[in-house]
Amino acid sequence: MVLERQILPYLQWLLYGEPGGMGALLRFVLVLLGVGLAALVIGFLVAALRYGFARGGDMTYRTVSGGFVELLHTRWRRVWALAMLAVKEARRRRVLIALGVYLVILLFAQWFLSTDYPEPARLYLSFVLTATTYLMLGIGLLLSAFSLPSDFKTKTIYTVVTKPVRAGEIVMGRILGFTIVGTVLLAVMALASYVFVIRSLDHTHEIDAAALKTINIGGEMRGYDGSTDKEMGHRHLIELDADRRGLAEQDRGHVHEILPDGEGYDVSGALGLMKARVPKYGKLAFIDRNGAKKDSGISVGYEWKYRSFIDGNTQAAAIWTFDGLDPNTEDESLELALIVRVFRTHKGVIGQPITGSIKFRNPETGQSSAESSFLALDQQIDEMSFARAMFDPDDNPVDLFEDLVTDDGRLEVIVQCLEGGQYFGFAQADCYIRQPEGDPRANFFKVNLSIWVQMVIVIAIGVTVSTLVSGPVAMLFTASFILLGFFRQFFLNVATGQEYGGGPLESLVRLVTQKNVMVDLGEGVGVTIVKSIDAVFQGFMWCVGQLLPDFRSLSAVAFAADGYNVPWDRVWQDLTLCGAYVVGLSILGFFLLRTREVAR
Amino acid sequence: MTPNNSLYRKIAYLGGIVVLLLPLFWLGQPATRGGDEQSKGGVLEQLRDEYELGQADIGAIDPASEAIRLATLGARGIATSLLWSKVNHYKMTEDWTGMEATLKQLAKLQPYFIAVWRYQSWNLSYNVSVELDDVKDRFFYVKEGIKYLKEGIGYNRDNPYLLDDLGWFIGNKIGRADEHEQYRTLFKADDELHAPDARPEQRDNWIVSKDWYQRAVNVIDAGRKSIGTKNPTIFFSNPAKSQINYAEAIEHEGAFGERARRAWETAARMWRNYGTREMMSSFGVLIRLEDRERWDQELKDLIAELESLAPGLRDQMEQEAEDGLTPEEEAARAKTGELSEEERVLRMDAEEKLQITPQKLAARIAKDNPEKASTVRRLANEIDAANKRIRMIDSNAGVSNYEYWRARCEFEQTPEALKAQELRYQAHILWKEEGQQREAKALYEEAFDLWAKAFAETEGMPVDSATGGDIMVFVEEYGELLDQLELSLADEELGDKFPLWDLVEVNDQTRAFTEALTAYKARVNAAPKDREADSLINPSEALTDVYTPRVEQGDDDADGEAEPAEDEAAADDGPAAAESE
Repeated sequence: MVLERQILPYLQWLLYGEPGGMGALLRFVLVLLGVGLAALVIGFLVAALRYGFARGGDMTYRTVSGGFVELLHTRWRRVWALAMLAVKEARRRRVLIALGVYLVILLFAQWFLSTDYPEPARLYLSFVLTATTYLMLGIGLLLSAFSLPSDFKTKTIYTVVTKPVRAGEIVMGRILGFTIVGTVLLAVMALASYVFVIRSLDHTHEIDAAALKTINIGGEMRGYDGSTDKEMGHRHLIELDADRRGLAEQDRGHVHEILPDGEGYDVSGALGLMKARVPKYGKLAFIDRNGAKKDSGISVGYEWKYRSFIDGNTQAAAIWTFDGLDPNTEDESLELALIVRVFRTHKGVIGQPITGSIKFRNPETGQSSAESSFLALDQQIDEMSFARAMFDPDDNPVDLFEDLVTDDGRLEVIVQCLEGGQYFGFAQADCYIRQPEGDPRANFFKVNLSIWVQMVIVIAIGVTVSTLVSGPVAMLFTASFILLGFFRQFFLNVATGQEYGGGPLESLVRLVTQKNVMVDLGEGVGVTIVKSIDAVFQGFMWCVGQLLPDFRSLSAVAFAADGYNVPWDRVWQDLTLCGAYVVGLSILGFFLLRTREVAR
Repeated sequence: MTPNNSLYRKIAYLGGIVVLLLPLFWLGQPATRGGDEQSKGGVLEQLRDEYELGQADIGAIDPASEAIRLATLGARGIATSLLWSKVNHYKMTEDWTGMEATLKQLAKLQPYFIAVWRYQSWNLSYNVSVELDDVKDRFFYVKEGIKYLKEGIGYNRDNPYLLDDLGWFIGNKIGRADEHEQYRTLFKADDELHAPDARPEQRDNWIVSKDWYQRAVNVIDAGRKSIGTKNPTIFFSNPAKSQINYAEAIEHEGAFGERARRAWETAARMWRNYGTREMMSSFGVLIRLEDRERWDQELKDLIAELESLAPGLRDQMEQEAEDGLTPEEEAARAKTGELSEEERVLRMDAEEKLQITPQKLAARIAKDNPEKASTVRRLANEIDAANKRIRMIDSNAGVSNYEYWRARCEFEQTPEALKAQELRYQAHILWKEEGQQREAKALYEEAFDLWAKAFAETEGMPVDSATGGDIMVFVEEYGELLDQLELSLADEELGDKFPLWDLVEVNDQTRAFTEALTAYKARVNAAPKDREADSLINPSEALTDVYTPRVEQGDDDADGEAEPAEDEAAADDGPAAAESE
């Protein structure tokens, strides 16, 4: 699968971040301090303007200190009671209609989906999970943004605030209540989508026994071969043993078990449609054609820079270094997976794959295995198995684990392209050690958990904003937050000047004057003014960017669609992030609600 | 404002609405069909009917498409832009499944937008397919592009652009790609692309392509759609060209004899029909490519008629023109070697003066015989028109290489060419698969002799054409075989028997035979009359007479050159002569 960013171990992510980067905890504290400081300054300035410098300062101090004391007196019993109130309110607002909408989407999805693709499971999973994501975000948005403003408008908030509850408890109660409603909806949708995918893709085939050919070796009947009938746009090649048992070969990402049934055959349903491969990734480095070490290979001109390439029949190689292996393992083999992107500068022999080689090396001693050749399966996962008993280049026996894995568990895998004028392209995630596969249902649950995280963040934002503004404004604000969250990286790139076309004002000027992003605006007073104003905008955008949740990277849909297990490190990171947003926004919501007359 | 004023105003508005509804009703009245009362409907309905603007007239109405269009709530443009950008993103990140699924959504959003079908089907068949390494995977996406285009035709039936594109994809992409051998096999074997009862030859990509091209042509012929900006000369030639390609392909793959002959015969018939089709030329005049000879004759007759009005006048004018040249012009004409700029101009002026065009002749006749002026003017106009018509036919015939393909279809039908193809195929098999080099050599030589004879028999088939290039491939194979036998065409005995030297002379791109050719020419020049080649054709004659490309000759020369070839064919008295008669 495409993994543009490496998933760090949870503690490293929390405390240190990527090399040269910042841990998530420190980032959270800095953002909290920044937002807190900004709120303090703004609050003080407003109070000072209204009541004078000294009284304003006193009021600010009292609000902050009183607020924190109040927060410390939060009682979960009251929060729970308010949450239940929010659940009742959501039910009254007929939130269950969302389930009807979802069922309608699933009902009509067959119009737009087809099993006639090379990877139908991928298409179906990504469709249902993406639909669930958008629907859940929409529900979160509508529930949270209109709740408090509606209470203010209808004065029903007074029935709450006249009870002994605190502002913080109201905010948290709403967040919790809507989260419970969303969780129930999500659970039903997840179940429905799982059944939908399984039922849509499940199928079987017929086998015409008379059409099968007998395999005879040395006059002895060894089995049968042939193919199944065509179902869902594909047919499988089959090879059966002499007892007429066997497997339909993999096609469209699945197989079928075949058993004899009287004179005919009984073909099982599709097996392996949903997978949860558990990869162990290594670190990728390259050697160029002259044998020098490089961080990346060469570019063959693709716009997408995800993979870089090594040239064939030279010293160029891709080297993955794996760690955490056990040199004393009892395993009889090493299970490896390799994805090769083939790039040809000439056709070669048409229909013949390009040959590559793979070998293992001890990074400390330099001892290596002899090269094994393989035929490159372009853009497909080639699952290989290497027996631990190997030979070195001089034909001396070596043990893969004992001799080639270092004492601290490191092993190098070296891949080369053997044909001149042809290239292999690799990214770090293209080679991994295959660990026992996970349960696809558990994986499906984890992907839905990532949707849940996104929903909770939206609810927290919606409730927080709705403490201050009216329902439609809160909805617009939250919707903008979601939209910007989906394009966070682009937003930050604009803020930091990494995108072509300048800041927002410069973009506007270019739109109006029909100058594309590559045209130089030239120099002059007007341009200087535009750029100066943009500098202010960009600073503001950068600040907003630090608060935005990156909804794209929070989505784990690609894992399920591509058949990979969502690592637990990733799940904990998402949950931590969600917790941070809920805590931060609850505090902010509490102070915002306190500014309302009604909640004091 | 009184309450009454407000009431009157509302009544006036209501009245206005009712009045405006009447023309709306008149304009938009729907048609009623069937039953006793039949009505053509209002103006809008009639216009819709006339220009086939109704959805049902365009093609299939798909509930899914309608649903998705309605579901966008008027934001179809935005949705389309987003999907288009998503397609580009998927293409960049090589997510082919995602890309194709998005393309289908895109098509459902704008099913009657022809450019989308054309562009994206091309994207799949040509751009995505080449991004995959395995030939079967490549074919899968070529097929997906074809299926996408077919879906587009379902929505937009009778669209000549889509029909023509489909003919091109199935013909050109399957039959001309580097992987065409594998693609053609996969295409034939694919059940999705053919009717279940389709016979094997109906599964040939060129035949299927021909059928789609023919559908496009039929749409135009029936007047259901306009040809738009497509070049008619190319557009109408496509079905016949596919048939030609089919005939070529089956011969290449080892189908000979009657089957190949029938294929070429059909191709020849279709090509002739194409030549007799009336087409709009690029100058906006209707022409027929086959009319070239008729117009030549017409022109000759007109000039003869003009000259008959004043017998001897042309000779007289030529003499006068020659006498009227200045000494400087005469000197410039007579000078050999390099000319100065001034001399070049003088020579050009002299040549112009000496050229007695029908217009000059007509002007002179009208001047000398005023009573014949009106007849002369008419003839001059008709000559001018005939000349223009010939130029237009030549120009359009050049676009489709009409004369060459007409000759090629005749050439390939000759028993000699048919047999030669079979022999060279057998020679290749004998050599490459069975290792029988000597036997293969004999078959190659027999094939070359037959080809030489076929060239001699077929009028208008030059050796510097694509046919020559195709045969050159086999000559190169033969050269390679000779190398293995430690022989060479430079050997006197072999070289003298080889009958296709002129073909080699113009087609030897690799210059592998330069030495052998030079040696052969030297021998021919040294004793042209003493040599008797063992081949069916005397090579020296072939080199000087028979194979001279006629397209490079003037009309008179071409007529002159045709005779020896015909004589030889007649003299041979073989099946070829009988066939050509």
